[in-house]
Amino acid sequence: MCGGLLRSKKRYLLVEVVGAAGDVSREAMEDAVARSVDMLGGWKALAEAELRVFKPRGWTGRFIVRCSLKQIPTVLLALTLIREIEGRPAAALVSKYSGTIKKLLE
Amino acid sequence: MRKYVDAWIWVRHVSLAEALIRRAAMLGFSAIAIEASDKDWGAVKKAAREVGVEAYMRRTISPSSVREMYRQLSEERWRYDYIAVETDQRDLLMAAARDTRVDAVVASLPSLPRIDRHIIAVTNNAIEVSLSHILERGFAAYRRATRSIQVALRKRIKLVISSGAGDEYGLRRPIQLAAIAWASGASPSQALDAVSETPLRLLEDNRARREGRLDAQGVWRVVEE
Repeated sequence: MCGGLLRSKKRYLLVEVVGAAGDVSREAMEDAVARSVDMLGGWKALAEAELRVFKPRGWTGRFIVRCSLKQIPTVLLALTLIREIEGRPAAALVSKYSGTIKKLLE
Repeated sequence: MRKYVDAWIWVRHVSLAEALIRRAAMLGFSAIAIEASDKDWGAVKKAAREVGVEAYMRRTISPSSVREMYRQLSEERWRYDYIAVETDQRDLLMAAARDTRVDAVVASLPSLPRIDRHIIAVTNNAIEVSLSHILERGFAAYRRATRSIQVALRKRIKLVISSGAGDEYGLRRPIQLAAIAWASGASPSQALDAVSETPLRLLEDNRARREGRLDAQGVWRVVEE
């Protein structure tokens, strides 16, 4: 029961990166999202967002971003405000979001 | 199902129009209000028709005085489907907020005067927040946009969120535009209304007025077939 209380609900966002940045690495994307969340909401939002970025094998320019349910508006806005990744112009487009990866990829 | 609208796409050059409109359609918008020069409008309309998007004519005016705004409105109102006013003067903001010929007041410019209770009391028109202002001008524009959104929500003023995109990198999906309002305290449905129902109603009503199907008092003309 205690474990259930400690585990926060998550949301998964399917994100496509477009622009001159070419194929973006997972680390670069995670860094760009974290910077943007930090800029918007500071350390508190960044800590509460519990961000993780996944790039499944074979995917190019597409990512799955995981965040806490509570911080979804902040993370969505942070992704909207990304203008460059690794110093090159880019935009992050959120295709959809869901509570499970399985539903996200349906 | 919601029909999403981008209330401000800015075509600086006709060569950019097709790519911009195609991208907007791909992102899920079924209607867009386009600001373009009159000579480019034919090409813009053709590009929109090809991708199955409803294109509306938009004009953003930045008058230097109230008198000039009235002159521009009397000349241009019924040539366009959507007229927005950008200003950094309080008297102009007040006049634009209550004039029935204006559709929206752009409220994401950092130089916009504070929206106080006197302005709220006379406001009939929508408040528009543009993503491009936030992307270009950063924190000052975001702070202004957030305050404008909170005023609109608290005082039940119509809210429109647009991209203001001048190139493909300025465009975002409807849900991302809605996130600007969502992160400022709007409920998800209020935020989505700002990129769907509210601008769509303004655009459809104005087009009906331009075509003579709706009169100035808001009465629809019913035609028997």
